[in-house]
Amino acid sequence: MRTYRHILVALTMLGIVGFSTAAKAEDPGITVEIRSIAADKQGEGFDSKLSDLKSKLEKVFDDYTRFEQLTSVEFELTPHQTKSVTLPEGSQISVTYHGPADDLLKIGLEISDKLSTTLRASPGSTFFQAGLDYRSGILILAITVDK
Amino acid sequence: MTDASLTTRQRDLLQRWFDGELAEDRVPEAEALIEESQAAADYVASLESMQRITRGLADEVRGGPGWSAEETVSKALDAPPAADEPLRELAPLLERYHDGEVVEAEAALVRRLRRRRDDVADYLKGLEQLGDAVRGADEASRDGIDFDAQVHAVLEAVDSQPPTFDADEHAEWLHRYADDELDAERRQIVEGWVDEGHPEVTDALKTLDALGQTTRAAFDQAGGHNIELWDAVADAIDDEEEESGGSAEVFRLDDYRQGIAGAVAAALVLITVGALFGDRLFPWGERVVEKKTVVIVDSVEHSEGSSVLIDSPMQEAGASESADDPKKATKKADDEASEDKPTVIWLLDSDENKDDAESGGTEDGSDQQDKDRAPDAGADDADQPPSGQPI
Repeated sequence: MRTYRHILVALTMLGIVGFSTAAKAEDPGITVEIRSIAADKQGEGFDSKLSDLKSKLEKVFDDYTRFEQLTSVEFELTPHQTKSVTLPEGSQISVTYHGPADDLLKIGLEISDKLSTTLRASPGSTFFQAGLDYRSGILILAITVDK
Repeated sequence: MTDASLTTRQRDLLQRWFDGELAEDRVPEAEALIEESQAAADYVASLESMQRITRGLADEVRGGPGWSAEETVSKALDAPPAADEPLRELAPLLERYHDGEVVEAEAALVRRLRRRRDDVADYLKGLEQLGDAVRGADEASRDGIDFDAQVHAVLEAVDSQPPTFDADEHAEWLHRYADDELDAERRQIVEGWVDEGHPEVTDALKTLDALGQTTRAAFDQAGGHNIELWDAVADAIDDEEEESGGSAEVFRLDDYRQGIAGAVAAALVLITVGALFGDRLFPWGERVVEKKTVVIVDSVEHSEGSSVLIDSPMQEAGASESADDPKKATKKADDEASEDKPTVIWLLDSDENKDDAESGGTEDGSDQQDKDRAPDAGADDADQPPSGQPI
């Protein structure tokens, strides 16, 4: 009888721990960082604020010779929450966190009425949206999502 | 030769005493003067030196044994040691005195020093004891006695003396005596201390005896219960063995069942806690791992008059088969990660689209609110992979 009592106590403890784990497993949301970058083919220069992105920018946007960070915004999103940010060229970008998808984070992006996309990104990943006209070049958005 | 501190009568007395011409009834007076007066002793020493010189010179003239002229003068110039000389300076004189090699004046000086200075007296006493020992050994040897055996016997006698009780050194003896574990020789010594009425020994033994009695009583009492307990255990085992057909294996499992259950429960808890909090409990186990990332574009919608291009390692790696399987996609993206090429969602306006169309681009914006699957778009670009340039 005492043996069963020990097992019962152990199972109870496991249940308590498991319950607390389940409570902890609730998705706390994500953080999103949007950096607006002006890219131009006229002139040369690279903003030191973009040093962490230098290799990527130079590889993908190799026709552009001048990069300048215009704004940097960071915010948090809980599942199914949307946040909008005004871009330097006047458009609005809305980011929606749809929740986790396996090991990835499901994100929705909408830029005014020009673009709407849904994607999955691993935590900590950075991707670019580019092509909006800005000054004599284009506007690049470097979007980083993380838990 | 003359000494101002001595009167003519005293010098005459000393001179006659030195020459052996003094009447016997006046000898004590002369000796007393030598012993009490440093000037008198110095005067006698001077007489001795002069006599040595005279004898030495006479011997040299005769060619007989004696000091050389040089030695004679050297000896004559040697002043007698002062009474306040340190012992090490007086030691040669004292040793010569002990060996009977001093003149009378030196002897008188030594006698006076011995009476006035304790260190001189002790030194001379030591010399006398040493001399007695040497003479005793010499006599024993001459009498055919085994001196080594005597020394050995003396040493044994010294060793056989019972040691004096020392609380620190002999505490263990008392404990072992109380426990009746001490050998006979040491037991005898301890009993000797008891007979002497040594207070520390008797008190310690009384305390140890009382402690031993208490311990034995407690042990006896506990032992009785244990016997009852083990009887009950044995009965229970017998009963279970009868119920299980007398299997020894069942008996052992039952015996350890509680312990096994506890161990299993503890292991489960440990595994769970370790899995949940291991990183925090063992932070040193953390390793720096390069984080590889992946971005999969599931759907894209764009407005009329514009087009979209997805420039992604996913498509270049064969997005058509991996888009539906995130794990495969992740693996392929990992392979591409070494290229450090991020995903770019190009939004192209109509003018650029026109130019792109002319240059053979893959995406067109002809349909309003087209819903394009990005992997398909990427697959279309497989022949001309985008290099980040608007098409």
